[in-house]
Amino acid sequence: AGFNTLMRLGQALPPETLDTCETCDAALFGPVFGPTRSIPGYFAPYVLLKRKLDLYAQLTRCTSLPIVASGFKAGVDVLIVRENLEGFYIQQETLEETAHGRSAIALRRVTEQNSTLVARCAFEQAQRRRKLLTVVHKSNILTVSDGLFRESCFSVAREFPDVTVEEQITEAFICSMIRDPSPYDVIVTPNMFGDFLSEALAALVGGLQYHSQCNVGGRFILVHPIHGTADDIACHTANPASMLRSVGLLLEHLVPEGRELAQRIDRALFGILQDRIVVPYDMGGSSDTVQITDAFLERFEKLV
Amino acid sequence: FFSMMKRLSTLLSKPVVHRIGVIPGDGLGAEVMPWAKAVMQTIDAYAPVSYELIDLEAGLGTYQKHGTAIPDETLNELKKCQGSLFGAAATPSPPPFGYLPPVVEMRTKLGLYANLRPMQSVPIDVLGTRGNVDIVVVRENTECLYVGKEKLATSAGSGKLAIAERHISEKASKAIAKVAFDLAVERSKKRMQPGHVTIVHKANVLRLSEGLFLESCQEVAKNYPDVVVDVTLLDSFMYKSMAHPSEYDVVLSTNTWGNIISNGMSPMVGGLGMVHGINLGDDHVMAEPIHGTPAHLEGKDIANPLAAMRAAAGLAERLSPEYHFGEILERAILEVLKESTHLTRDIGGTASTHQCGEETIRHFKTLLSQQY
Repeated sequence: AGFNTLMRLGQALPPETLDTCETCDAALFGPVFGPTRSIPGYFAPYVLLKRKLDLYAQLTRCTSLPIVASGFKAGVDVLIVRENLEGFYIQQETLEETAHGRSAIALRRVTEQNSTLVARCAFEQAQRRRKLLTVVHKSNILTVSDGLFRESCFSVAREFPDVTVEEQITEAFICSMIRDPSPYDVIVTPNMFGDFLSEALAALVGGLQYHSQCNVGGRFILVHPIHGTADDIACHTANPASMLRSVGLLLEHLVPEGRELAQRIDRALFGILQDRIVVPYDMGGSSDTVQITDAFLERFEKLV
Repeated sequence: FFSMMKRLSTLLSKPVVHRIGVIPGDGLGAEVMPWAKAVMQTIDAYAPVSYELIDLEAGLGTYQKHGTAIPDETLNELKKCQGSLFGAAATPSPPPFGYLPPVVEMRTKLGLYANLRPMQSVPIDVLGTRGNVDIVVVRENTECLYVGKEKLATSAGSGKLAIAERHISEKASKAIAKVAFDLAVERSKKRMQPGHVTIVHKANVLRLSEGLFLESCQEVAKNYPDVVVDVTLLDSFMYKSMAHPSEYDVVLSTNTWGNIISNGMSPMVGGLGMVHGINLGDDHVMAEPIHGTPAHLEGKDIANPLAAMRAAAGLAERLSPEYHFGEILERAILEVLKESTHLTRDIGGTASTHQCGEETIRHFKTLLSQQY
């Protein structure tokens, strides 16, 4: 799937890819190139996959890296749960010529159904974690759509009396989060805020190279790194950490032993970084993708 | 005696009186407004400019009393003013459907199409502070998700459904782009380097509407060949700006992202208590601190008055650019920061709103009287 696939086969998400996914329990995805101008026939494969497989929530867990790295915030473990199917993803836009020039309208949808699903997912996570949920929204301006989102979240709250729920307007939250993310536990937020909030937080705690995202629905899990295709980075120098951790994240959600496997992956990965067996470009070194992967595999096998 | 005579002659020779609406609002907005007023009053007393300050109502308190957050009298008076100071308004919780914060209505009704939020590093030592930040966020101020066009429907099977409209026009996009590029040119003269405009967008998700914004801005950019332009996705911008804030100069975006960007970047320059916004129109300027009305800080005399004071000086500078009131207040603030004995909690001190406000006014008075 992806842009190259579009170029070769005429579709960014060929039916064979989708059909195969539907027979699986989970999928692991690499980053996908997203063009910023309208290309006829192109639909972002992630968006399509999420919709077809009903992956109604995206989970991004941002934790401080277990190694010493300057400039990154320590003591952070925040899970951002983002509504994943609607908002602007419905891609209903119109463009027209008027007397004063061109004018465009984009529709943003919020439903009680999806908001409730994602809220329940967030509350379940909070129950397993530190029992604090912050609803982040912009209902001061979007009184109807974000009003519905927050109302749905507070409705679900009644099913989870042991979780403390609070709310914050998006811009107040982002200021607070960037200043000090450590008091937060689980965040639940509409689609249009979840993407940049996750990336900002991932950047704060250790860089995009180390974080992945998990898209969940009732019966399928899709995991991918948080970062994009980073076309400004030279070939083969990319840090494979997020892909390696993606495997851990996938296993954690898929099988009971998954959590232990994910921890072992992290131990191997951060072990070789802490011991400076390899030093990736993002940490000022020059170890390339293959070198880091080889070192990781060697360490991982030793830990088994 | 001599200083008194000097003041008297200054007062007698004032040609222009600016009418300024003063809208404190609620909570922290009302707590810091007296200090914004004090800045105007100090300028009036010590410089060759005069203000008629007109107290006006808007906000949650007004909504609860009169059923509207922005009464007609307030709007009518504002239309007769050259400028205004707005504190902050609380929003009813939960907000009734169709409610729009009064500041949004004021921006629309007074034609304030551009929202400028300057951010510069200050010598303080609190969580999140960064050095070398010198950025102005230029935020489109009339459309996007702020048009108040939402609908609610209920279907039998799947519950409630809400649709919000996001409006982007070529006209408003070009207008705000022009403000951004003109500002970049103006700043390049002071900063002694080519102007740089970063357009922040989400055209990967919003192909048509954000695409229109991007195209319109890039069209305007052609008229400014000396200004460097770069285009960044919102997500990328969030982490790039945190990694290398010194690389940015003017940051241009639509209404919703522009607000989020400026709030997100504020920790680098001292937080929400330090940042102000200038809402610009062709015949009116409204200045405000960008903070809201956090209930847990209310009524304790701990709010930081500096954002509101900077708003006042920023307004004064816009109305009378030849007197550099904004620069002079900045010098006063720098002195207070260096003293470090009169700083409020959020910027590393233990002083009250009053103490910080008074000390800043003291320094401001001295600098003004030396100048004028």
